[in-house]
Amino acid sequence: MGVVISVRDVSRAYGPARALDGIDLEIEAGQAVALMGPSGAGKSTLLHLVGAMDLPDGGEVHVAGERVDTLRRRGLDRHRRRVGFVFQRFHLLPALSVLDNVLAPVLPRRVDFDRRARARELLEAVGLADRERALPGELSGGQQQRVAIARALIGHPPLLLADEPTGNLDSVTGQEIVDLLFTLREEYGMTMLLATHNPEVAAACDRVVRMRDGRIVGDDRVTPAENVLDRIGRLG
Amino acid sequence: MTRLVRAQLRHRIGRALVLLLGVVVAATAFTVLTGTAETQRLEIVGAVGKNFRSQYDILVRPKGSATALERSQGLVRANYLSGIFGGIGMEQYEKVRRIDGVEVAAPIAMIGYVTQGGTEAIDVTDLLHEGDRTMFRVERTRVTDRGLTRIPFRQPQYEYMTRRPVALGFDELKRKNATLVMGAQEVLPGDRRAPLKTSLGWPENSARASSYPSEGRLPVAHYWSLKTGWGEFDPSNIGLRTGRATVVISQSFPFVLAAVDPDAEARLTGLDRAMVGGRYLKDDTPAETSGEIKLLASSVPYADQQDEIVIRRLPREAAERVVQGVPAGKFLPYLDTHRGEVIRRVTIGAEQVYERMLTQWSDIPAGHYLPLKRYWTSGPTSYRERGGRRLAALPVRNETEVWKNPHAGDEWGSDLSIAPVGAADTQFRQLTPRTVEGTVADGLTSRVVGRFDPAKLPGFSELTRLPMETYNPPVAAPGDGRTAGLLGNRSLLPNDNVAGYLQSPPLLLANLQDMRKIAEKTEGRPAAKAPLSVIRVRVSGVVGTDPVSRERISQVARDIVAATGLEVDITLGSSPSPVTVELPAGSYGRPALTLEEDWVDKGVAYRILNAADRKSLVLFVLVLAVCALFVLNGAAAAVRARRAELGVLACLGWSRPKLFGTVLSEVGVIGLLAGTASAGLAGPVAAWSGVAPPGQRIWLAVPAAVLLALLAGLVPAWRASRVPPAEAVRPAVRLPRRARSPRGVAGLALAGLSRVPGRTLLGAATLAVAVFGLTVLLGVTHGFRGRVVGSLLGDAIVVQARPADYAAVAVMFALAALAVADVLYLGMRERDTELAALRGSGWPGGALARLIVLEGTGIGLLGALAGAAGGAAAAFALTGGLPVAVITGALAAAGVAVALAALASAAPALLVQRLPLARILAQE
Repeated sequence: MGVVISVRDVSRAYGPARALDGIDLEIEAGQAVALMGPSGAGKSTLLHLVGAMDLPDGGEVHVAGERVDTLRRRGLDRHRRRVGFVFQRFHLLPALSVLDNVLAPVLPRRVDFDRRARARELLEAVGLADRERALPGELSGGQQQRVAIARALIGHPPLLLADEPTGNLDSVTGQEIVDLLFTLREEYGMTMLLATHNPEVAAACDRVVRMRDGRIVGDDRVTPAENVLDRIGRLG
Repeated sequence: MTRLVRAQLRHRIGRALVLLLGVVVAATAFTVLTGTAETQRLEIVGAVGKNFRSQYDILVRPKGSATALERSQGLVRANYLSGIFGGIGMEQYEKVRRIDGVEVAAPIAMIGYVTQGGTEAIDVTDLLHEGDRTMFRVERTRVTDRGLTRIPFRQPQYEYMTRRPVALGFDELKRKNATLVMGAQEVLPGDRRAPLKTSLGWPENSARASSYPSEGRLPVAHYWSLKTGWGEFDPSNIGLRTGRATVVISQSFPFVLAAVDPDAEARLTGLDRAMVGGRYLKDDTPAETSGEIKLLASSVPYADQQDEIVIRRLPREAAERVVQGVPAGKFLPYLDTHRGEVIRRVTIGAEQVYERMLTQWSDIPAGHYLPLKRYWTSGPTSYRERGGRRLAALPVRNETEVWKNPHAGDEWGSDLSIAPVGAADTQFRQLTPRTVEGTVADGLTSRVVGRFDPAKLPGFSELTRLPMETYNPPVAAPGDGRTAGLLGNRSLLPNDNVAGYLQSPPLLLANLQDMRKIAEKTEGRPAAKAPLSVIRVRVSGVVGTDPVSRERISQVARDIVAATGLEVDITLGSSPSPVTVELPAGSYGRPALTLEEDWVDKGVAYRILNAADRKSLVLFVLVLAVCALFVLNGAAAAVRARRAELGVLACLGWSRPKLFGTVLSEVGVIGLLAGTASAGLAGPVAAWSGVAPPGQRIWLAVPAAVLLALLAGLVPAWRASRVPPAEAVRPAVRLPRRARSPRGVAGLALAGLSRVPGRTLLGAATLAVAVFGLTVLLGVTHGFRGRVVGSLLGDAIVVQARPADYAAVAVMFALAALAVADVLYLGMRERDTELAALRGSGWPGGALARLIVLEGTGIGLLGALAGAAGGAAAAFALTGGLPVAVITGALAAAGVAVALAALASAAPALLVQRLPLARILAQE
């Protein structure tokens, strides 16, 4: 398996606060990697840099062999289309129906697939086939996050980034979402990078990268035989 | 609360500055533009009692041409053309023509009197003595004023008739200084020749022009041969033919020669349809350099003059003395004492002679010409007021010098400008002689090319009672029983006394090109610069004496005064108004008369006053309205952005009035600051834009700005105070009631617009107001030639497009563009997480920009359609019609609005592409 994400000596500061401080990280294709750490550790910043929603102050970010941090407008747009992003706050468009929210990323461009069929397939996959006409405001938090996941996957992204996907959900719902994410990852063969506080979520991943104060303080590759939760507990 | 207000202004400085800018623009524009709303206004005062309408609505005369009497009595004299020979320049005429609302502007250039003689032939063949020759003595009396004036010719006319041939060649005639008699020789048996001049060649006398009547001190002698006529000339054009003995009686007519614009005259009076012979006048091409003045003549002379003729046959030996060669010195005393027997009495009326004269003037034989060498202008009649509407006409004295022929002795001949006989009578107008320069080769000649009958002018019979018709003869009716008896119950008419009391209407008309030729060739060129006497103006859209028609006329009249400085009289509602005139006795028998003339009671007077242009004020108030909408949007946005904060304050126990007061105080302070800034800016802005300095008006900016800000902040402040705390912490953007399924970016833009309908409508409303203003102005400028006069709610109003109005509309558009940009910016800010999510999910920056531009265009379309429809509706309500130009103007204004809205979205569209995705998405 080749390296799909390569972060080399990346730094990012917001004013005096250093969000990332010389991070190096490589992620292989097909891996599910959890970024764990307390608030302010730099998890979201790293996700944003990989998703090209922000630019590093120094270092290089490579995704699928392409250096992302130097991309210009069109390249950035192309890159973002290859990445699915799930936000903690879902960020659905409140005026659009569930189906149209899923379709929103492909609304301004041509695609080589039947977008509505694809959206319905994804809604089926996230268990919301019967709510496609509903407004986001009419859904529960878990349902909204399912819609956000479906929206992230509409463009067949090989890489899924999720920023605290269960952070706004209760534990049961959060677990459902985690299960869903991993089921879809299996189904679509994606690489997945998640930022999370949640050990349950991290436990489901192939690898757990622990961060603190903008640095990587641990990188555990989890084998199926290991009790991930134990290791996480030990490492923490 | 004060601290909170101060903190808000300090920490939300961006929004405060946007609000401040809006109010500053509004208050400054209002302060500066209100100075331009002052305009001159001509107001018709007095009731329009009578529903007369003449062929024209406004009479334009040279400045100062209205007499004191006319001004004091509100009258226009019946003979209004009298005494006005020039005074209006061609460029002034062009200005009048170009004034909006002028349907026809028909000028009359009174050139002057020209005298032209006509002849009548009296056959006396049957009265000849037997034998070869006979002499007749013709005694004449000119009878005018309905028979009251009788002017005997001072000397008789002698006619020498012979059955023998008379020899006279043209060359000889020329050598003999153009006097027929001087070269004529009667051919006697045996080819002997008897020069006629020996007895009939009475010497010239230089004192000839020194006394009236015009005929000289010495009698006139003519000869005629029944065999050869005058010799080698063909006199058939004056009714003479060989074989017959004919006495030729000539009568001279003074014509008022005027020039008109043939096209304008046809449109105003229908003169072209009154033609009874020949052709109508046409404009010559500029290349026309011929010296021939083409004339249109009235087919009726409107002259009361006739000649009573007594023909006496002299004793047989009188004629024999001529061939015997009795010298004139002895022959004349003989003639004085042998007056012969009366053999015929004839009366020749003006009409007879006039008709023949016109024919002769039209059918000028080849090689002949009628030179135009002299003409006379006359001043107006002076009156003494006798109380009430009673006037006494004041006689004047013209020096005999005015009749002196300046061409005496030159190649034109010496005797072409003799005074008409009637000129001996009492005179009332001062004459000024004018001499036309030029020789036979380059001088001016004249020809009658057509005749018109004034009675055939459209509506003539009805209009004769209307005042100030151009071709009507002046009516001087008997004013009392005595005069009625003297005049036989008839009116007095003009006659050949050119300086007499009544001036005939223009009977001879030339076109303006020929008028220029005359003006250029007149010695001293007195009328070359300002040749026109009056301009009669018909205003388009005038249907009667209704208020709208009055307004139309008053506007055009004001524009004429403003553009030319000329004197205007409004004829709307004018009617004949009897004025009694005491006419002193004439010198030849006419007793003093009391006449009644139909002067023109103008019916309406007018005054020119400075007034506010109501339409401009409306536009400036609209500027304020646009600003109010702008500020309202800004204030509402500020409140929306602080809903959570206000909600918290409400939770902390702040009362509704306090919250209301806080928000209102904020906008009030902004208004105060903006007003102060505007007061400082108004002067420099006015100076920069060339508008009158605002002066003390600058202080208007402060209350205007505060009031505007408070008004605009009222609703947002009220809403802020009414929202329950729990509601206040909800999202600013209202959630929709039903889901939307946008097809593409455009659909999403539409969905975005409907998310905050109030704000969308505010943006559209600002544009709509601007589009409304521009539609009305463009419609007025192009659809109604710069002016609309119409009725709104029963009130006659005038809408005129002025530069200041366009400036106001430009300000409105600028503010509207700012408002649209603000609406889009606020929408973008409030939906930034959604937009960032879209961007993060792969939306290209261009697609997001397109979304914003489409939203802007949507606002633009909404405002454009509403404004254009409103503007077109206003134009329709005002005028009852929608010319294509108004519709085109509406579309153009709408196009400008949409383009501007799209342009206004450029800044938000640029900003949306630079949203800090990471920061926005990480919020909350």
